[in-house]
Amino acid sequence: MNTVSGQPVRQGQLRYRDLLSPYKRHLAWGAVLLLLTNFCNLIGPRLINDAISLLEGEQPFLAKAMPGVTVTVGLVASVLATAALVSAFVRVASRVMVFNVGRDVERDLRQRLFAHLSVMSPEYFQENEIGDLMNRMTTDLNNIRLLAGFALLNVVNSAFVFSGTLPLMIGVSGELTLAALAPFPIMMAVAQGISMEMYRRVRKNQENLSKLTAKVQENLTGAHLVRVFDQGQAEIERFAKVNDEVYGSSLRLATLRAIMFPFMGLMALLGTAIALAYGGKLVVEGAISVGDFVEINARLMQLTWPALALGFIISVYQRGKASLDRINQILTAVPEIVDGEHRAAIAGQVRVANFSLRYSPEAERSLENLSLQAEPGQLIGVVGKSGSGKSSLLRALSRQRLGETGGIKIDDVPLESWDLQSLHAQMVVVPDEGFLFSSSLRENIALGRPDASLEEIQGVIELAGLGSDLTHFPDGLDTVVGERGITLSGGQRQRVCLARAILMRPKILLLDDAMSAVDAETESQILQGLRAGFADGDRSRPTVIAVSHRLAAMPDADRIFVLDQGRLVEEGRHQDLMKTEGIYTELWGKAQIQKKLGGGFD
Amino acid sequence: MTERPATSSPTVEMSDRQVLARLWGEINTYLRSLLLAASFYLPLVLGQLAQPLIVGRTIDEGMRAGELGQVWFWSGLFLAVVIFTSLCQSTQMMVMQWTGQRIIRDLRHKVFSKLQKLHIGYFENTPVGKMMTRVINDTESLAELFASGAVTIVGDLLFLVGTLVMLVLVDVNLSGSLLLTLPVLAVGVAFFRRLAKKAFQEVRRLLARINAFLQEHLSGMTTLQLFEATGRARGTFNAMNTNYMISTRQAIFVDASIYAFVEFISTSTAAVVLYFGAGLEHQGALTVGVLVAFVDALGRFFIPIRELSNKYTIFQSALVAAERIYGLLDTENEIRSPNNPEQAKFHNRLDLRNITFSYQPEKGPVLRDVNFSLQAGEHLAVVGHTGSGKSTLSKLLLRLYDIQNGEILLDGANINRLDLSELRSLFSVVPQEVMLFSGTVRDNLCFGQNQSDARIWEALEACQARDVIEKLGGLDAAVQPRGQNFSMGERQLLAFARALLADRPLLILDEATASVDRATERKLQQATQQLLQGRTALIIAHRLSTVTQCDRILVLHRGELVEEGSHEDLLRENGRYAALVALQLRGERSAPEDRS
Repeated sequence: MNTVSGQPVRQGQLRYRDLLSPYKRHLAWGAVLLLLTNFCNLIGPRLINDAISLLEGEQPFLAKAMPGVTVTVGLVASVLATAALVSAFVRVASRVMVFNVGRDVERDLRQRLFAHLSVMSPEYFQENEIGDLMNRMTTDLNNIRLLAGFALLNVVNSAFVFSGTLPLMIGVSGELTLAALAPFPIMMAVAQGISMEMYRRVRKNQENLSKLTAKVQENLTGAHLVRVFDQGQAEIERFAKVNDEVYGSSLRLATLRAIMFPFMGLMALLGTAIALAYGGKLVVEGAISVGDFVEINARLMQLTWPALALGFIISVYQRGKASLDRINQILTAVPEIVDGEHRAAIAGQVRVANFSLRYSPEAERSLENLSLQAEPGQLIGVVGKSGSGKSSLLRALSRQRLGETGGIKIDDVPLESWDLQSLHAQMVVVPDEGFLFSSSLRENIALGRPDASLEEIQGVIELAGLGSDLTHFPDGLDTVVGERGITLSGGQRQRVCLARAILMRPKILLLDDAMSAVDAETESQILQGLRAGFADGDRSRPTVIAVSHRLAAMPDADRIFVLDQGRLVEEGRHQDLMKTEGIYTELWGKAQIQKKLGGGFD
Repeated sequence: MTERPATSSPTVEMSDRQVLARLWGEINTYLRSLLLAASFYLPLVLGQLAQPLIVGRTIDEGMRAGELGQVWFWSGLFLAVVIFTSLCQSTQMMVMQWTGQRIIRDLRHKVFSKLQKLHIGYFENTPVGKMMTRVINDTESLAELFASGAVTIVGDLLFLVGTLVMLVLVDVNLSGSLLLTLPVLAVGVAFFRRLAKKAFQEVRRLLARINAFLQEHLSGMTTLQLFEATGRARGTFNAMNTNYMISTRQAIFVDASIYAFVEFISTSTAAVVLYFGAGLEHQGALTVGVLVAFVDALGRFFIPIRELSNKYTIFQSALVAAERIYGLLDTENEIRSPNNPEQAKFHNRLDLRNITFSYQPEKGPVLRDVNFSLQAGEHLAVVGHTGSGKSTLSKLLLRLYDIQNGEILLDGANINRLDLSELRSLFSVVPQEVMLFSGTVRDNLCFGQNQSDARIWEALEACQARDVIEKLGGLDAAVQPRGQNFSMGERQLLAFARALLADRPLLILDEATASVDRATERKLQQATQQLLQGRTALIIAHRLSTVTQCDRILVLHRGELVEEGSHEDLLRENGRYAALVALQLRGERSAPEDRS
């Protein structure tokens, strides 16, 4: 994936302000509340000034503000405490308001990412490892949350503190304020300079962490093989290499931080040192009072945190920016398959005309000028050696792949015009290795129709030849199948996937070697069952297009298409093809032996 | 899809103190660097404490006394102290963070290494997402402990105590006023801390659920799409997500309350001090400079307390993370090398005696009282239906699982007494489902051993996989994760080449079921011959052509060994095997003869 920074806004790309725009009102409220807190806080140093003025026998500010009241230190102290109490409540409200926005943004973005990923095609998940995607949806999302909550609050807060405090300080002494704040611009400039470097190091570190995540993911998924091949030690070494890279980049990041933060603090305290020297001179000369100096000094301290926070914000901002880029890489990925609008009940006719497909521009064509058709209710066999394009054909039919030229029509409507939801509900593909979720058997089978009745589920279980297996499961239908169905055997997994597909009562059923781990006899039974219609009295037969290595069911097929190197080389019924002595007869002979052996020895 | 019930962790929960004690043990190794970092605390804290005192002196001895010289002197000193403390701070942070990162790297290494050694049963019961969290996120939580400076909590405490001591030293009477507010602070912080702990625990629990859900559903996204179940998954996900958001809101509220509370106490303490201080000054017991220094020092006193609550939360998550990491590290490895392992070797024979094995005792044995032996150089085929237990045999030989009854002997030595790694490196395994790792073709073929290019090509040639690799771009061509850029048949050919290169005395060949085409099939058969030459082999067979060429055949049925002998013997016996062969021969008559 390439970086997207500096490019014009692309489809789906989010900017910082897009994230915040739904929460303008909350943020506005947050700002008002922050303003209020800061107002309360501004009173503090002035009151301390007053208390000292009283002690030095000078006229306090409060006396001017409240004429007719005798101002004592006790009164000053109670005003101070009251302001603190009000400030505390407002502070809670303001933080809740703004930080909640950060969490809202996090939730929105997470949901948006999931929704976007849920329309991406299978290749996308092959090109982008799950570990990497996960990393983006956790670490990067976290960084954006901090940017939207923490950083925003502090920027606004800093702005308020500075704009409220500065006039008051200048009111006390313009020249002292100017002198004390002299280091601040230097601080900002350096911070600016560091921020670029910070961004680079942060990004590098995040990339390394992603690499590490992907490595661990791969290793853990292949845990079994790591043991079989005694690869533990070798894997540890491979891991160590990536781990060291992460270590290196996080060290470089930590070093920069360790320089930056104390430097920011130093700049702020430099201001105090100047105030001390120059303010002292002004007091000695009688230009300002001790109380004035104390007030300025106290206000400088109030400025220190917001100024330091700017340092934090720069790093949070850089992290957030890097993360937003990485999130945008997901959001701007264009789903290859675009939804159509045609919705209708499918009769089951499939026409493929002059269809070609290639996986990448430089690859050879996987399908070349292929034409075939299936009428409603027919059992169609597709056979060929591996690499002949059988699976590609099924992928194209199920719209997981787009063709290059030519077209596929379902009931005379081009495949790409179909509404995906309508299509998927009526045309179901069963791959050789289907994905099972870690939930119960029932939930896996009812994946496409969660409302299916128990009878229906039991019906498809029988039809898929799972009936006798079911009695062996400890909790029957509620047996949890484990991650990717790990507690089931390969054949059981395939039949669960098949049951799941049949439950959809599809009009078109695409079987991609879907019973390779099921014995030939069971396969025949299942296919015959399907030909008899669905179990619950629905007598409409689905069009079945079956790719199979075993060919056991081929004699029953209404039509068989033989592919070789992406082209259609033979077609006809079993008896016809057996007379031709072509590829089909060759495969059949082989398959017969395999069938007997597979059925017996397997 | 509801979430799975949480897999119960095998370890007992540790108390915070126990976790801390272990974490400390961990840190012990890095003690020197940490002490170095800590040694900067003392000058750092002293420098910080000196600052308000210097300001007080400047006021009393410079400003109020009208001595400009004193003003220059004290403010010069202030500047020097400030620069000094900043340098200390920077150095301290650097050493601390470097050490922290080192600790994390080593801990991560430890966790990953542990996962490489754990028995396979652990992986069958633990979701990958959960283990990922241990290696990546939990260690990252610990890293945050150092990166955020939460570990400087020690320094903060030092600073707080120092400030208190200083305040008392500056003015005993005035510091008495602290007695009024500090107890309130202590009670309040303790109260909020408890709330915060609960709130943040909930936040983490819900986040873990979200991540587990994501991990699984991203992996199965295509399936969800084909079954139009993405909408439902999105609904579940959004609900989880919203729950999580709500829990974070509670945490935010508690956190904000702590912050505001400390700020309030800070200001009201200043008010109290002013009030009492004014009285004292009136009596001439206190100068303005001291009062200012006092208020100034108080202001600084509360900054780390305000941050303390933040750091405490980070500290808490780090503790939880550490606890979970230790939970994993403590998981007992059920399969491991014995303490004084014997050297694993194979020259003569492999014996399996009275083997009984079940994956889960309640489900009954998969293998029952199985006996057989394998002589050096012999080729033994195992045939039987799915579920007959034949694939389990290979797992037991490699000691992926321990048998409940009986023993497996290599040259007379029980494999439980052998070094595990040595045992496994006696075997070359060609599994049914071949998995390749991301990396280069070379990495996948050599698996860590040094092999010359010539040898690798030779092996590829012998296994008919030369053209596949040439087409891909040679030995350094990239293999995508899980070998996705190879077909099933190609992956098998590569596995053959791998086994040939490894050149180990024992071969376990789990023949793939009929899922490749004829051309690949022929290639595989030729490669099999190459591989078998001169090796002792156990073949879990699916092809008759392979079976007939073996010296001996074992027929397994429902976990029991029902027939044993050569092809001819078994035909004569006229049992299960003979029936299978007869069935096959009948099948062949209907097809043109084409057996290679």
